[in-house]
Amino acid sequence: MPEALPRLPGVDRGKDIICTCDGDLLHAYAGETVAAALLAAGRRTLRQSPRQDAKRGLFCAMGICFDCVMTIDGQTGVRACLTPVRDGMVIATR
Amino acid sequence: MHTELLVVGAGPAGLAAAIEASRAGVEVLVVDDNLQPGGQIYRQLPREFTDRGRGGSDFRNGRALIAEATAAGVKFKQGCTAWGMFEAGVMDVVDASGADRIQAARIVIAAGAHDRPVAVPGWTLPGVFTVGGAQALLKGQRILPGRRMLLAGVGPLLLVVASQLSKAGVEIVAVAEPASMWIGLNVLPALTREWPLLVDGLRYRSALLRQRVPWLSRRILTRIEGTEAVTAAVVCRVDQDWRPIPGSEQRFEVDAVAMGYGLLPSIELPRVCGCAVEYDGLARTWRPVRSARFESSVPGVFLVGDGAGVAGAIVAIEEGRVAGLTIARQLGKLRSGDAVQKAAPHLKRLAALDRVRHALDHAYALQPGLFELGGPETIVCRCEEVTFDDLEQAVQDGADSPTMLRSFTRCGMGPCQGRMCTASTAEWLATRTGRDTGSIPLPPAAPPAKPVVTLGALAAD
Repeated sequence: MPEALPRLPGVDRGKDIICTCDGDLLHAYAGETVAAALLAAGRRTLRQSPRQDAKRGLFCAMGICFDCVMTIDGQTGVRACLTPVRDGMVIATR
Repeated sequence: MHTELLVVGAGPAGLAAAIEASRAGVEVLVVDDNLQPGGQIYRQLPREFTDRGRGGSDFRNGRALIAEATAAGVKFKQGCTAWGMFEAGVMDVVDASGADRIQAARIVIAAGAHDRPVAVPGWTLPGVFTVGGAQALLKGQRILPGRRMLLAGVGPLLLVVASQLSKAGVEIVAVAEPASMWIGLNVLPALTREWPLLVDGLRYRSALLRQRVPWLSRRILTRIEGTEAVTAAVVCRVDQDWRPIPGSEQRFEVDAVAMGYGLLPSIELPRVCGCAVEYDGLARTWRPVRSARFESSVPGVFLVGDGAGVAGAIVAIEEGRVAGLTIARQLGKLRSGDAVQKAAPHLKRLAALDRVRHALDHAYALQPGLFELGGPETIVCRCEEVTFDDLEQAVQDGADSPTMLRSFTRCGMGPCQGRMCTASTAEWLATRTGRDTGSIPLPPAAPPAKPVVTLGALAAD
C-alpha cells in the first residue's frame, strides 16, 4: 500500500471524526471529504471496477468523473470526492 | 419557487452576473452543485476549516466576490444541482431536501469546465489525477495528491498547478509538455494590453525555475505503470504532430501523476435546455452559440464563463457582468442608456482578452498524436470499461457515429454521462474513419444533465 499522504499545515481542520472503511477505523476531521480522508490514511483504492475488477481511485476530485463512487452508509454510487465525512459513517469499497 | 433571475453556478462568471443584476434591483437566486460557493478556480475551504494564513490569491479573490454578492442581496442555494428544463423558464433542481422547480424570468448558466481527459495506457490506476483534481485536493482539502509526482499536459493550468504543488512540498520529477517551450513568446504581443496576466505567467515560470522543477518541452506522457497504484510514468520526445519518437523513452518512478490537456466547457446543461452548440476547431471543443451579450439560442437563457468557451476567470467575470447588466435592462431595472454605458468598459476589456485567448489557443493547439496514445487494451470509457479495441470491433460491425458506438459498446453510457470519453471517442472515430473531428456529431443530450439519484446522499447532513 502506498504511504499515507500528508495533511498540510497552516489550516485548522474541524473536530475529530471517526468512521470506518471496510471495517477499518478511519480517523478524519470535519470538513474533509471521504476521498481526502482515505488518501490521508494511505488508502488509494476507492473501488474495484465491475468488469475487469481493476482498482480505481480519485481522478477528477470535483464530482465529474464518478470514478470515486463508494458505498456510504449503505447507499451505493456515492461520490467520495464530494461527500464530507461524518461521525460513525460506514464506508465500503464495494 | 419563483425568482427574477436564476443563476446556475457560483464560480466567477455566475457570481459576477448575480452581483450586477442584483445591484440593479433584480431578485437573484444562485444554485450551485458544491457545498461552498466559489467554483473551481475560486475554490473556498470547507466551512469547518480555518486558514491560519492569508490563503492564495484565488482564494482571496473568490472570498471577496462572494462577499460582494452577499452584500448585493444575492441568495445562495448550495449543494443544489440543476438538471433539466422541460418548460421554458422553469429549471428542475435537486438537493438534499428533494426535487424542486424554479421559475425564473431569466436564467444564467455558468457551468464551468473540466480537464480534457486523454486516454493513455495506465490512466485508470489509483494515483492518476487530472491537473484540476490535484489542484482541488490541494486547495480545497489541503492534502497532497502524492509525494513524488510527474505532471503532463499543456496550458496555463499545468503551469499554475506545477508551481502550487511544488511549493506545497511535492517533489515534481518532471513536467512533460508536448508543446514547444517558445510558445510563451508567441503569446507576448497579445499580452501587452493585459500585462497582469503576463506578470502572472512569468511569476509562475520563475517560481518553477527557483524550485528547480524540470520542465520537459516537446515530451509527451505515453504510459503510466503500476498494478495496485501508480509506480512509474514514461515520457517520450515528440515530433511536430506530437507523435512519440521511438527510442526517446524516459521513465520516472513516481507515486502519482497529474494530467491536463486544457479544459472542456461543461455544455451538458445548456444542451439539455435546448441551447445550440458549435464546434471550435482551434480549441477542439464544442461550445454554445451566443449573442454579443451572451444570450444563447434559447431566449432568456444566458451562458457565461468557461462553460461557454474556456478563457479563464477574468474573462468569466467580465462576461458575467455584461450578462447581469443586460438582464437588468431586459427586466426594466436599468435604463437602456445606463446599461450600455455600464457594460462598455467590460466589453472593451473582453475584446482585448479575446486576443489573449486566441493566441493561447494557437500556442497550445492540440496535435493528432495526443489522441493516438491508447493501445487496443487501453480503456477509453472509464465508467463502462470500454477499450479502443471494443470501439474498433463496433466500427467493423458497422458503427459510424458516437450514438452507434454507444449502443454497440455502452461507451459513454455510465454515470459520468460521457464527460470522460466523448471528446476522446470523437477524436478516435474521426481518425479511424478519415473525417474531421468537427463533423463527428455529439450524441443527443437528454436530461438529467447530471445523474440525480445519488445527489441526496452527497449533500445530506
